[in-house]
Amino acid sequence: MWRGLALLAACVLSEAIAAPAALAELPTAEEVAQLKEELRHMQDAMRQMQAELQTLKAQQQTPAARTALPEPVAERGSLTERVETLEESVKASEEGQDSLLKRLDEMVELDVYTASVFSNLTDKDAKFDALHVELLADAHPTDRLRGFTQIRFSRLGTIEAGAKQGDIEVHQAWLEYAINDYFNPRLGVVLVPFGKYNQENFDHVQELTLRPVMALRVVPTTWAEPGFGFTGHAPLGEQLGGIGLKDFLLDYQLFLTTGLSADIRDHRGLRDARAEYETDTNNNKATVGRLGIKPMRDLEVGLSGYLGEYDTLGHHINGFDVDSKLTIGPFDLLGEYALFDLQEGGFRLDNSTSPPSITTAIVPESLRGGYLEAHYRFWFDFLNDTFLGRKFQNPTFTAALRYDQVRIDDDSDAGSGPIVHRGWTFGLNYRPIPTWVLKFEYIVNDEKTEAINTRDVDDRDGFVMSMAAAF
Amino acid sequence: MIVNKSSSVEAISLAELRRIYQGQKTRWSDGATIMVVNRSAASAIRAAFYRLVHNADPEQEFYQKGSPIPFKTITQESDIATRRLVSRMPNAIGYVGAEQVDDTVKIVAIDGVRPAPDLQDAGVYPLRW
Repeated sequence: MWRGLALLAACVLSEAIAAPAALAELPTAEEVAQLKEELRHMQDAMRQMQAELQTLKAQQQTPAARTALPEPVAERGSLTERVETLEESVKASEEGQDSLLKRLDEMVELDVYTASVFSNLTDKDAKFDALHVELLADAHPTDRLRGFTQIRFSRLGTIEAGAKQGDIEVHQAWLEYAINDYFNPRLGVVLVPFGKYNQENFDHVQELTLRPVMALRVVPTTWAEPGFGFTGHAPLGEQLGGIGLKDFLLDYQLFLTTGLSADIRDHRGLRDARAEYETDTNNNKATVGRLGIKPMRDLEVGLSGYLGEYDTLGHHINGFDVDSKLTIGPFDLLGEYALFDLQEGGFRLDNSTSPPSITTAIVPESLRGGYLEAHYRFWFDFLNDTFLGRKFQNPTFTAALRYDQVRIDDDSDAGSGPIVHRGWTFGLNYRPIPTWVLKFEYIVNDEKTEAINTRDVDDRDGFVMSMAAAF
Repeated sequence: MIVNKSSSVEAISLAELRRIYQGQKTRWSDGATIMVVNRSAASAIRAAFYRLVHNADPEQEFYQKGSPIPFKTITQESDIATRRLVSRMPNAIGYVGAEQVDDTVKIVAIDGVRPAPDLQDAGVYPLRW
C-alpha cells in the first residue's frame, strides 16, 4: 500500500510540475547547464556594462574629466548617446537575467552525490567498493509545494534479486505542503527522525567513511520508512524578545510510520527490521520524532523517541536517542546515544521468506550504543602554492577521532551472550571544496563475545580510504 | 541588508537572517519563497558577512535537515548587481555596502537597528565591517 501511496505521490508531483503551461516543456539537464552558462555570461557582460556606465556617468558629471575626454567618434555618437545605449543594454540584460532566473526557479533541480571506498581490513581481501550513486530531485512547483526524491543506486553491480551485487532503493520520496514556520505536513517515504546521524548520513557530509556501529545496528541508518507527519521550527529566542538567548531555536519532526518489524537478531541488530515500503507486518503504526534544541548558534542537542509494536501480539519496542554537536572555532565535538527496549515474549520474524514467517527464536531484550567524535579543521599556508591548495579558495584538512560502543542483548541463536563492540577510528581528510572529500582512516575494533555478521566490517581492524562528492 | 521595495519586511533579527542564509527559513510570513541573494565566495563583503552572521568561512555550505545537497543561493558578482537584482525581485533579500544603497531598494533593520545615515555613526548596526 505504501509503495502505492509513494507512487501516487510521485504521480501527483509529476502532474503538479507538468500542469502549468510554462513548465510543459521542461528543459533537459544540458539545457539547464546551458541556461546557467548563459546566465553567467550575461552577468559578466552586465558587470562590464555597469562599470563602464558608472565611469561614463562620472565623466559626464565632472567638468575636468569631461574636458579630458577624447573627441567622440562620429560612428559611436555623443557621450550621452553612448550612456543611453549602455543603459538600454543593461536593461535588456537585466530582463534576460530575470527571465532566466524565473525559469531556473521553476525547474526541478537535479543533483547527484556519490562515494567509493577502498578498504584493507584484517582477515579480508583488500577491495574497492563502488559504494553508491544517489540521484536527488528537488522540486518547488509553487511557493508552498515541495517534492523531494532521493534514489540510491547501490554498488552499481548486477542488479539481481538475492545476489546483493547491487540494488536500487528509494531513500526519500515525499511531498510537503508548507503552511508556516511551525507546521508543515509531509507525506511519503521519509528519513525516520530518530537521532542526528540518520538525518546527516551522507558520505560527503560526514568526516569519516565508516559509520559508527551504533548507526548500523542500533539505529539502522539509512533508515527510511513510509509515513506521514509534520516538521517545523520555532525561533523562541526571537519570539521572547531576545532575553538572554537570542539564537534559541526549537525544531521538530514528528511522524507516524510503518514501524520496525520483529526481524531482530543480536548480530544484525535492527537492520533487518526496517519496514518494507509496500507491506506492514502488523496493524500498528510507530510514532517517532525528534526535537532539536539550539540554545545558541554553535550548539545543538537533539532528543528523539520511538513508540511502536514489533509483532502482531502487541509487544512493544520503544526507543530513545540523545545527540549533540558543539562547534568552537575549528573544533567540533559531537556524539549520540541510542537505546531500544523490547518487551519480552516476542518471537523473531523471518523477513527472508515470502510471506515472512514467525520463528520460535526470541528477540533481544535491548539494544544500546553510542559514539563520541571530535574534529579539528586546519590548513598549512605553505601548501597554497601546491596542487593541494592552488585553484581552491579554502581547502581544508580535518583530523577526526571517534570512539563507539554497542551492546545488543543475546537472542536465542547458536551463539550465546550479548554482542559487545568497542571501536576507535582515526581519520584525516582533505576537502578542496566543502562538497568534495578524500578520506583516510584506520579503525581498531575490540573483540566481541559472539561472531558478528561476516559481510560487515565492524569486527575488523584496518585501513579505509574513500572519496565522496556532491554536485 | 536590503529587500525589494514592495516587501512588507521592515526588520529581522540576526538569528532570522542566519536561518534565511542557511536555508532553515525559506519563506516570508506571507508564504512567498525567499530569494536569497549572495555574493561570490571570493568577495570581501561575503567574507565579512559570513563571519558576522554565521561565524564561518565564506565557502561554508549549509544543509537543510535530511538533504545531502547544500542550500543554494543566487550569487551576484558586485554590489551593484546585487542591488539591481533585489530591486527587481519582489521576494529577494541581499547585502551590499552602505554606499551602494539607493532608493530602488529598502534597508532592513537588524535586531531593531537601522544603519545610521552617516557611516561614521553606524556603530550599532550588527552588520558592519
